[in-house]
Amino acid sequence: MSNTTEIVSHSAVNEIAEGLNQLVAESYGLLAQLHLAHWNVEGPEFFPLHTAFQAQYEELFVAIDDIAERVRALGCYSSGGLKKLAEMSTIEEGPSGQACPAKDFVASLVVAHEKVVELAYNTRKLAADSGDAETEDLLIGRIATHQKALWMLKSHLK
Amino acid sequence: MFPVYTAQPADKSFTNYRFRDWVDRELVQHSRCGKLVSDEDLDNLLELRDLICQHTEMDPANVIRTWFRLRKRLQRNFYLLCYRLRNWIAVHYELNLSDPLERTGPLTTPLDLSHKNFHSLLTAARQSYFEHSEVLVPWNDIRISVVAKS
Repeated sequence: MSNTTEIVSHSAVNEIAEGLNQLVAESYGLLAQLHLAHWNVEGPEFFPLHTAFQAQYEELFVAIDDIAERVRALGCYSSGGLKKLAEMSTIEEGPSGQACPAKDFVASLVVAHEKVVELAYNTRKLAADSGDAETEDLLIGRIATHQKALWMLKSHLK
Repeated sequence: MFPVYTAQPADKSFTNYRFRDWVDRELVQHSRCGKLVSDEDLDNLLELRDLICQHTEMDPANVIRTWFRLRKRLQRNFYLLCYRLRNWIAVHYELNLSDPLERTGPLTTPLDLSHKNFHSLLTAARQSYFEHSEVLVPWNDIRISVVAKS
């Protein structure tokens, strides 16, 4: 039985791995923002938000491992290290070491989740076009999870 | 009110399509859900849309003034939209502070839109310039310009 790397063309594998590595970086950016929000959120909504942010970063931490391992399964190497991932990530950082309205934390996380979804969507499409169903399946799950988080965060802002 | 000058015309290359799209999506989403937008909110959203579409032709200081006025009216029901626009403005505009008599050098600072209104933003900017100056520059001599980032 052939493995994915034999089914999918070499150039497509590299492109998919590049997308997945970028997804790892963006996910780490989001993870850091979730942590920041979890620590610094204040106000009457502290308890539900503090708990919700923790649930999101715990789920994301496990997911990042799956994405990076998929890169390895494709025969490529995963990007890693805080400095490298910070250079790669385009997630905008929220205010650090200072007070920030709870709604701003939620809004900044919406923007970050949207970035991750957009990238996951593009990489999923690339995987689908290249016949890499396993990566496609992984990313369908990721997109659905981020979309659910977006629904919850946006509902909070209404 | 402090006088605010426009130092240079806004860069026409700014991409505003995404923000215009966000306003449109907000309007579509509300009508799709059967959730009516009040006449007042609709007027304000359309004014915001106009601000985004025409910002390159507008005096940058006027863009910021309009933003503060609209934020006050829209933030309650459209927080996310206001947050996005606040970030967009902070990315595309900044403040230049200078002393016309050149007793001290100019200072460029980011636009801190977390202030309650334009007046308090300018007061805080003057304060930071005052603290940054090596020589004593009379408060009212400090010249402030809102400029589009190049």
